[in-house]
Amino acid sequence: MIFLELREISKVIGDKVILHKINLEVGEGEIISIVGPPGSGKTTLLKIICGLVAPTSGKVYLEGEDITNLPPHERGFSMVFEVPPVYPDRTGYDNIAFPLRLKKLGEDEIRKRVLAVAELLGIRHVLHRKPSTYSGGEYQRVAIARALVTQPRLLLLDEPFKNLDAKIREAMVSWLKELHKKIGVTIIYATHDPLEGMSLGNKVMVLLNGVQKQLGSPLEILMKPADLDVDDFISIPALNVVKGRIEECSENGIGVTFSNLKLRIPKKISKCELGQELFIAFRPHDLIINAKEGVSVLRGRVININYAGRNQLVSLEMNGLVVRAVVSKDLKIGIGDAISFTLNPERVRLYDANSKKLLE
Amino acid sequence: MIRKILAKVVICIVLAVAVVWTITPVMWMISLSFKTYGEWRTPSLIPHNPTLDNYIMLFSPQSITTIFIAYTAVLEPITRPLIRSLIISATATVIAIIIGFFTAYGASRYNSPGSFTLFFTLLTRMLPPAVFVTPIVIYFTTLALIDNIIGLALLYAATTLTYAVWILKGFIDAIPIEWEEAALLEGASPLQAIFKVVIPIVRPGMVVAGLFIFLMSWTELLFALVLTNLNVPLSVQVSKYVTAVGALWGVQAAAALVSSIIPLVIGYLIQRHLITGFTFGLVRG
Repeated sequence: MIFLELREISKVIGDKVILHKINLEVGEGEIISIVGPPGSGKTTLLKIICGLVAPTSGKVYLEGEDITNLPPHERGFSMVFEVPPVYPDRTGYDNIAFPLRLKKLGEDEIRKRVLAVAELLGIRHVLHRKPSTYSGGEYQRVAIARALVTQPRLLLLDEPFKNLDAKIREAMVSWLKELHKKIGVTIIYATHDPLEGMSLGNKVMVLLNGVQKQLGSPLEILMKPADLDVDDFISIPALNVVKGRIEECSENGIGVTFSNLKLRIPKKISKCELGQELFIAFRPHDLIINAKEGVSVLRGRVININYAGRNQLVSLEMNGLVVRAVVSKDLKIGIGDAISFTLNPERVRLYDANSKKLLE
Repeated sequence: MIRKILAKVVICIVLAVAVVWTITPVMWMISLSFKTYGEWRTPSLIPHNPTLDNYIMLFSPQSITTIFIAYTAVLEPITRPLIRSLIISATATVIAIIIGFFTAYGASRYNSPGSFTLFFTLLTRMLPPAVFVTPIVIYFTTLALIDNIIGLALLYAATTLTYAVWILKGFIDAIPIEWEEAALLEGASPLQAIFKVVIPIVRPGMVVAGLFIFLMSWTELLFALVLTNLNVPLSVQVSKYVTAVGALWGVQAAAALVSSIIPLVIGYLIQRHLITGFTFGLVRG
């Protein structure tokens, strides 16, 4: 049963297209991630869902009923904004009780509900304190508690963990997953971090410049990005993209050349034309250093090394092209070394030079 | 090492000068207010024959039979101007803060009445007040507001409004619009969002702006002098003790001391808000 449905949602302000024909179906109890760089329209989309912003065209359905024109507070949704609404002038308790007091509930009922949600989120100890004394994680949890205390049917989270350190953010994401298991509320989660979005959502929408580029499971998006822009956005560290052309079409693969280098890819594409221009994309993780001699072995010179945790990110220069590779920290290399490498042919993706669509 | 000590010595000297600079007039004022008539022109800090005559002259001028009686130009007990000034300053403050808040809210959220107009309101503070005196006198005469404390309160509210707008706009700008939207989402009306979210958060700003406006109204002299006749506020009364006929320095010092007590008390009572007000920008984002 479809719980929430967006049909052809567009938003235009002046002559600027903020959102272009967004379609989304959400099942009850799902977590949907909306990922996109800042300014891609994530916040606007969430505000359209909760009713704070009216779409220029398109409809929002809740359990089959058109709610596009329903005022926000009648929808029964909650939203945690990028700057979480935790008011600095009052205690955690008063912050969480705020929506209940608006609904004019009795103080006994309010007390019961606030304590219950504080217990659930593990923030009983901050109830009597003011927000200026909170840690980043407590601050976000109070905001989520305020959103949950009204028992919403849908929880919209707009980059709730954006201002936290990487470590705490990771912990908060796991915590949110646990919480979702416990209470099963439907969540739409917007983030600029594709990895965070993919680790949280069971469906992920990639939103670039207001256009819905892809909607699918995290694995689908990771393995089969719809086009080069999606691949480029979700790849961390940054994707290697080189321009090349098809030199060979055969039964067991295709040969491509780029910058006087040849590469054979054991993969078939539906339309293989000799001389066709394309983009060759591969993630830095998929470079294999110190490859044995063979057809697809390339040579480069190390021009830069960055240490990143257990790995090092190496920039290689070959014939004027620079590619980046993630290699183990144990590999002893220095700047200026000549290195041979190849690509994991399974992981190389080819994109049409004009449409940037994935060639399959 | 020597440089460090030298630096400290210099800092101490500078601070000492600053302290003397600020404290001396106050000390002199306190000392003078307890001196007898004959001692007013002597430089000693401690009065030789401490007296309360100056204060008696202030609060009950009719009961004085000494030399002061010659200066009957000032016969009204100071309590009346004091109450007048309280009414004027409080009224001006309340009006300026209420109108100022809603103007600031409109300016911050809807960019109304436009940044130029907003800047233009500062003009009333850029020109010397003497420029406005003549037109204001004409207006007030037409409106029959001369010698009326409510007229003075309205004038002060109007001239200080721009401070209220600018101070409060800064505070409202610092509140994310999402904090109001969250309340709207939870069923609040736009007005409820203002009263239950924005106003409680900007309250320290209102206190700061309010104190500022109160002090400006409390000490304003030029317009008060021109626009009042019998119903004088405190600032005018204080000036009256030194006239062409003669100078009651001791009485004036006592009057100045009395008139500074109310702002001191208010400042003390609200200092907790003042600290929050001045450090408002440090809200976690």
